[in-house]
Amino acid sequence: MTSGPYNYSYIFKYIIIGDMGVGKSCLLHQFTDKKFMADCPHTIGVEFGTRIIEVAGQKIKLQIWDTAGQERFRAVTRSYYRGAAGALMVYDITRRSTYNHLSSWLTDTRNLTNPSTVIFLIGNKSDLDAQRDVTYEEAKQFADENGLMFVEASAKTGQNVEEAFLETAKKIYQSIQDGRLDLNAAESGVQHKPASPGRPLAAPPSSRDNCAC
Amino acid sequence: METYTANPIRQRINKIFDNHIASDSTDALHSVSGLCSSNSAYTRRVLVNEIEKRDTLVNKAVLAEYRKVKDKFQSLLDSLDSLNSAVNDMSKRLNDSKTKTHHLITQTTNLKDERKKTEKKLVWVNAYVNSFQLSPDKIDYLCNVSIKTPLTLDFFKTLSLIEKLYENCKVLVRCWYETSAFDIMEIVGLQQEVAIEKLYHWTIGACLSTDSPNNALIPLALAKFQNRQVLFSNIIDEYCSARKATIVQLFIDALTKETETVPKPIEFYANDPKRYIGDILAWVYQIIPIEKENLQILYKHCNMSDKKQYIIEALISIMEAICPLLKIRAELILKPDKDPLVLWSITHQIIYYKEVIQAIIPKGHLINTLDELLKKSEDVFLMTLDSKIQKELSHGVKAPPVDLNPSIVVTDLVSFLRDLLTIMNSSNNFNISERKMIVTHILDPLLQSVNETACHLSPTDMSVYMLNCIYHIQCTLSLYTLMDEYNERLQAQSEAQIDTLTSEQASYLVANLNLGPIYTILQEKISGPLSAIPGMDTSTLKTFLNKFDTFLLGPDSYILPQLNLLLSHSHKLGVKKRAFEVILAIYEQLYKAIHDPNNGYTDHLSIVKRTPDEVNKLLK
Repeated sequence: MTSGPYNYSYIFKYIIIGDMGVGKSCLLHQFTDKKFMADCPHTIGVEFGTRIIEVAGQKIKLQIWDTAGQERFRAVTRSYYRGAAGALMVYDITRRSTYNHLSSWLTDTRNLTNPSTVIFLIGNKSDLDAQRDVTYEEAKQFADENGLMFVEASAKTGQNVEEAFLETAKKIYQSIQDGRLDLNAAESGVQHKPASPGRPLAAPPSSRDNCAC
Repeated sequence: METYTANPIRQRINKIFDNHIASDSTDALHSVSGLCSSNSAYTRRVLVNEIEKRDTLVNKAVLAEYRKVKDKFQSLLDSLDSLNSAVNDMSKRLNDSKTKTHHLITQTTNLKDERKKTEKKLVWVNAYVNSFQLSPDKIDYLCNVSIKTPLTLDFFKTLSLIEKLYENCKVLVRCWYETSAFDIMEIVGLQQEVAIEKLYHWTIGACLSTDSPNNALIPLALAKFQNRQVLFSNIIDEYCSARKATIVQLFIDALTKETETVPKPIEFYANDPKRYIGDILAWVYQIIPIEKENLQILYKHCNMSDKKQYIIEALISIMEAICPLLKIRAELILKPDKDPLVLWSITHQIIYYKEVIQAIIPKGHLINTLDELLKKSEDVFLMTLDSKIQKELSHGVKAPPVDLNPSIVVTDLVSFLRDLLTIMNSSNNFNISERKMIVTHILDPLLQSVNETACHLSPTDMSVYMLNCIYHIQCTLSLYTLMDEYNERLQAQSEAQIDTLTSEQASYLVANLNLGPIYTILQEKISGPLSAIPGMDTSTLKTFLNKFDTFLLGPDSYILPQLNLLLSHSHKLGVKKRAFEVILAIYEQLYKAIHDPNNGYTDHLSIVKRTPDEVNKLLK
């Protein structure tokens, strides 16, 4: 049971993007269930996961959309960038091609999201250091040049997975505090929930539903 | 010394002198002797008298003093007497009160015992009251929940308490205290009704709020209505209608609201139909798991067996609200003025979203709406497709190019077909009806028009043109394994054309090599030696075989010119090979006939220099 009558104060929308097979779904699964799915099937279209986290004493609900990496789903997945507050861009440190495609993913993200969207670069499969194909320094430099946050993580061991999701949330929360992110914007990917219990019930939204087209 | 001390007289004298009283006496005696100047009898008498007088005085004085003493003693005695009587009195009274007090003590003891009993009773009564009654402040709270005294967790604790009281009463009934139990149950029941009514109104109110999914008390409240079907479904209805209004508002905002962070709402892309429909459908799809999760939280504390079913039904009801908005927008887009490829990819987007949504909500208005839109989009697509195909095929097909390659119309339509197939392949949905659609609306008319064009041509030109067109179509279809069936049909058609071409080529060779008469004679099986027949005589055969040799050295110059226009090299090779096989067969027959002694050829080695095997090698 939560202490107050409200479960959380904010909702943040995230999307996870990157090439096929870099471990996007596994990262999501590791974050929401704290488990590693060894033989994760290819994502068809998009998948959805949630978890409530705490940042600066505020409960925040993360709504995470895990997109399919396969090229043939690009047309479908492009529609999911709309309104994302955080974008986790994933590549596989053991496959250089997935790193080389990052700029195209970044272009998509920049074009389809708003300027305040926090983009976090994740080099996944850090447990496979022996097969490494992309150095930490190189990726770090790429991240710095493009103003991205960056870690190397492992969906298998769980290393840095929690950090990536939480750091993104902290950055978004910071943007809210600084007033850079407008809470009232329906598409900013952040929704504010009242934290004070027992306030007078809000009037129901006027039911101009079926004719306002 | 001993003798000195032992003398008793001396001791006595010493004793007297040692005694200071004796010295006083001596002094006294001295003073007395002073008084008496003469020791006469008179004096002595006077003295004695005097002494006696004094003695009397002294005694009188003593007596007086003693009288005083005696009086004092008397009064003391009196006092003691009165004391005695008082004490006696007291003791008597004490005895009295002692008897009285004894009675009091018993009384006190009794009272004490009673108090203990009463205390115990009080404990029992309190326990009883606690077990079977609500405290007044709680009742007060239950009855006065409003905006001023907001509903909190305490309310639920109290409500649970009431339920417990009710259970307790049941125990009481079982323990034969029926009357009181039923009384209490009635009271508790009334209180419960009041509380439930308050809770019901509160819950309905709370559900109307836009952030009701975030209110942790609502699920608790809902669980209390599980046994009251009507109230329960009323609450769910209220919740659903509030959510409907909320998501409709959100949807309209997403479509139209322009903000600093999102300068371009979905409506902005209305001129890009694919993206527009894709964004709308994605938005609708994204709201479903969120609403489903909200409902799961709402039903969290309910423990009915068919909870999942209830959640799905509520979800279906909530999603209904989106349908009119979705439908109107999609129908505006689904107009025949669009490119069929765009409509086709929209159709596939609808198919995709229908499938993924159906996995969550198997039926309902939203699915029906998607079905309708799918039907509509397919219809419009077919309409535009048919008009496109008709328009394309109506002009320019009549005259095929001189090089007998597929006309521009054919190549255009095939590239259009490739685009369609690519869309189908990418959406991973490829069903029989779509295959049928492609066959009946594109391939069949295309082939028919190719046939129509071809029938104006010479047989050879026709076959070449047909083969080229079919080959071009096949090249595209073979990339998509799902069209294999149709590919086989095309393969059969091209086989037929290859047969035609083969026979054309063979006849062309026969004609050009003058094989015709020889072949006819060989077939006729005339009795008697062949060498005697005109046209089969040695010299004619020699002329023929010389010509045949030039053919063997350069067979390609005897090929139909149209064969070189075939797009497929394997087609060309096949036709050539099979035509040569015909020629080879005739040659073999001729070879045998010449070597047959019955036919009367002499010096057959000079007539036929090459064995069929050599010819076969040369033609390969």
